[in-house]
Amino acid sequence: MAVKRQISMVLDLNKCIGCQTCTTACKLMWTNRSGREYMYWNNVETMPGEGYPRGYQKMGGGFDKDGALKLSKQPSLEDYGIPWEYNYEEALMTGTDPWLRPNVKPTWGANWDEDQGEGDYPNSYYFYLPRLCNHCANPACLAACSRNAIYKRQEDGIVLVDQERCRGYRYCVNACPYKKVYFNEELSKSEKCIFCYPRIEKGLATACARQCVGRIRWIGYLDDKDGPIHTLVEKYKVALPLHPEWGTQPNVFYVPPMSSSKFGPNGEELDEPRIPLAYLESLFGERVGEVLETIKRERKAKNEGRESELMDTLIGFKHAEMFKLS
Amino acid sequence: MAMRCSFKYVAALCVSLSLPGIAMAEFSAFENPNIQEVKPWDTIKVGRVPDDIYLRDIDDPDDIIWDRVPSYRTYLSVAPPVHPSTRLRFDADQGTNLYFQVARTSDYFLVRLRWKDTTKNVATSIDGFRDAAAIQFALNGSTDTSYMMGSGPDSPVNIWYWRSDYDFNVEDLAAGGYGSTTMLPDQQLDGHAAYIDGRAPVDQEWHLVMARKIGSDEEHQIDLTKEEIPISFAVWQGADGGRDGNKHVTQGWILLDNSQEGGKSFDDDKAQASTQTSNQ
Ligand code: SF4
Ligand code: SF4
Repeated sequence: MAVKRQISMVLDLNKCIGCQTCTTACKLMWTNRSGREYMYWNNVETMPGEGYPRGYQKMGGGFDKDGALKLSKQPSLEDYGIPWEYNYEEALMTGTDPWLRPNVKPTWGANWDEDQGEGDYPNSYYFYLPRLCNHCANPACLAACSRNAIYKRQEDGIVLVDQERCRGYRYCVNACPYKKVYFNEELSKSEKCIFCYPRIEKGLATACARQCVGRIRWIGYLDDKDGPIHTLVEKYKVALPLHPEWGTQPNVFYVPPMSSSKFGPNGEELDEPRIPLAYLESLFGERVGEVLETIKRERKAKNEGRESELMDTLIGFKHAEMFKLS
Repeated sequence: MAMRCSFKYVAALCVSLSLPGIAMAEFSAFENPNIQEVKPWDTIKVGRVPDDIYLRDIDDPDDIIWDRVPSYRTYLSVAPPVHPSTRLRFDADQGTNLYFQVARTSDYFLVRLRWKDTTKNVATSIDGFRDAAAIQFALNGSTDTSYMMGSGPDSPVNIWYWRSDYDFNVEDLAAGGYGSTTMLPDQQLDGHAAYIDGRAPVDQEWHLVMARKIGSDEEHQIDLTKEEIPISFAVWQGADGGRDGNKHVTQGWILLDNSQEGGKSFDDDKAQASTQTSNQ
């Protein structure tokens, strides 16, 4: 779906510390009220892991090889995690309840399997994967909507649900393989990440990116040759979409994570990364190995005191250089 | 009269023959032989509630008055898919029978629908879909209008939509083609439904009445003073993920003869209905 310009985000998974500041920034701004309590337009999940909603990678959706929409499971509230509140008033103020406890018995939540990962000591591994709507070039959510209620803005490619047109059919929820459209039961309409468009229109970065403690996020226009997105995605080609095989052509890209080497039976370092390459390829496609090589090479250059434009970009010295919104 | 008696006799016989099998059989196959079948393009007469009969609630789905209004059965088949999302969920084998009655008082126009449903779905939740039903009228009174949501803005339809998940649960809508359903600014409908929770699955059904004052000069509200009104129906099964085009529909228009000559009583109407309707 051709638009005049496409705004885009790159996230460097080598820098994410899993602090959830982005998640909180997004929640406070957009989803802590009015039927959105269970929604995380931005979430950070531990990989390998179930993700949010639970098992979303195996639910289906997206497009098949011929470009036809694929059916998916309709996630349940349990799959997302039933939101809960604490009895602060009773436990801490009036003292009428001796226990501070949630009002529902939690059995699952957006970050339930945090830091579990996989593998056995000393070769266990995990990394964090922050996820938001990919504002895809070929959005499955848009293709699935029989009301034409979902549209992609010409000026920046942001994908939005027109709340006036939406009649709550939830085809979009089903079709998005990333499960980044959510159904608001209170309003009976679907809602999703709006890429903080009111901020973008003022030249400000999204809340998740601006608040990011690890400074892992860059925002800019894909076609802006002077911007960081072009440098990372096009020039050095180190940023890859998540699950390109789902056919939606995401505009959020990830720098895949390097990992330290595996240990052999006698504690010797093996020439093999802790995070299996095949696993990373299953997420980000076949170019992962090549990308990791580029990063290794550029890191070495920087280490040896040589120039590296790529490393200077990835370090993210100044917000002004990380977010280029004009 | 003799004909009607023998019809009743045959009907009673059919009931007694078929009843024991119902619990076992696919119950959608159950057809009350006392109720006349109507097919698209058939004409039926709108029943007349005499002015001296007092209706406490205009939309009571089980008012005893309905026992005196002729009842019709029509087959709803799965709507042909018109969008990739409905095509993905299309199951052609899932038709259902709808029982309907149409009547008017001097002020109100009433439609009563009944259909079998063993699963009561009255919530619209993250992964749950509601039961719903709709009545559609061709606004220009012409059967040239597509019975599938109208044919463009020049041949629109008026839709009375009932949803089981709200208290104020009827919506007065208009559409001129797929995906164009729009809520009308002036909401004039009354509507009320009851779920009948019978002991056997065959008894479990929805009863719904939707009603509107006859006078309305809104552009997209059906003119209920017209002598002939094309009407069609739709039912959504929440348990099957029904919404949008995932529905059961009349494949064509049924024509309502809304003329009022002579101020006939119900019994006249009934007699007429059983002889007049052709099964083309
Ligand atoms: S990530 Fe999902 S919701 Fe976002 S644009 Fe792509 S298909 Fe639509
Ligand atoms: S704020 Fe930044 S570092 Fe923290 S979890 Fe979010 S993306 Fe990762």
